[in-house]
Amino acid sequence: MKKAAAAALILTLLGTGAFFNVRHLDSLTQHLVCQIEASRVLCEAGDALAARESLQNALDDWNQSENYTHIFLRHSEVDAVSEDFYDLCSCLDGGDTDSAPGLYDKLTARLLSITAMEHLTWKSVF
Amino acid sequence: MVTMAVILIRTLIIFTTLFISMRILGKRQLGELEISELVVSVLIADMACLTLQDIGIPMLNGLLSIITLFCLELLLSGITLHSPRLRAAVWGKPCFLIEKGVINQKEMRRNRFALDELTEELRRQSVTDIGSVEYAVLETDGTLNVILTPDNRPVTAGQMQVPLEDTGYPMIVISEGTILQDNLRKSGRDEVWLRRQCQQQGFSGPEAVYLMTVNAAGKVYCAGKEKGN
Repeated sequence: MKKAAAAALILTLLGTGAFFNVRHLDSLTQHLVCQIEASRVLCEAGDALAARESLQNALDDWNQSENYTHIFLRHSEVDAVSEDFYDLCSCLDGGDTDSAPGLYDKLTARLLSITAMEHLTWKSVF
Repeated sequence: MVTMAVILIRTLIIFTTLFISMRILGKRQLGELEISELVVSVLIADMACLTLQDIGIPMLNGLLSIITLFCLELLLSGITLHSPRLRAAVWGKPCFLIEKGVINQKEMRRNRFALDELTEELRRQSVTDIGSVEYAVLETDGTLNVILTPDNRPVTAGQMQVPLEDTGYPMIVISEGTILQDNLRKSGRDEVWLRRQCQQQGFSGPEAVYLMTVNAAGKVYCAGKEKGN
């Protein structure tokens, strides 16, 4: 019975870990989305330099959480988000403000999809 | 994207689905594994394979599934150990395919056991005449145990009233030149006795012996190493 109790404890811990993982990912993506939105507002106001700086902060934070993302998320998703970040950075560096809104949308949608998939829904399970 | 919570739920669903499927399919599908053991074996092999093949999937995902499966198996076996009713519901009950010499056709159909398969199983146990079987029990792990009618059972020494010496279980004391100290102690002997035995058998020492066993009656079996080994 000791083994069964240990197994039940491990399953409970895994369930709790899954819950905290969702919360952590929620907070990480929300933080990044806020920074990206701030960058978008600056970009729309015509301040490409400040927009780039705000985006760089978001990118730094994303890169800093690399250990977490590579352990818990599919590597292809992590790479896709990084790619979207760099595409947007290049766009802002080149002063191409026409393409920027689309790239902002793409990056935000990609980040939000990571959180959406993490949440327990019929769609994510099946 | 597969993540922690989703993996946990998916693993639970797959485990339950496979388990129910195997339970419905019946015992003859199982071979010598219990239902949950088979489900766990199949799933673990597949998950381990997937994690190893697709490096784009975080290793944690595979590990998480495997840990979850092991925990479920442990939990299930732990719970069923303390509840005979639950045990019967989960693992099923042994059933008589032949009872008092009569084939139970209802049980045969219920377990999807063809007559050919029954005779094949009996032949595997050196029984060629189905009329000599008193009971054939299909166990929960899928094995068929056969009890012959009294007139077909082998005569035992007890029935013949022949006194026999209890030789006990033969212990391996030397395996491929290595002395197994635990077994030597359990057999109530020491290394001095062992070395003497080696010399008596014509070997220079334990290093030259491939296998040596000794039983409770003191009977020694000794096989030397082949030359060049």
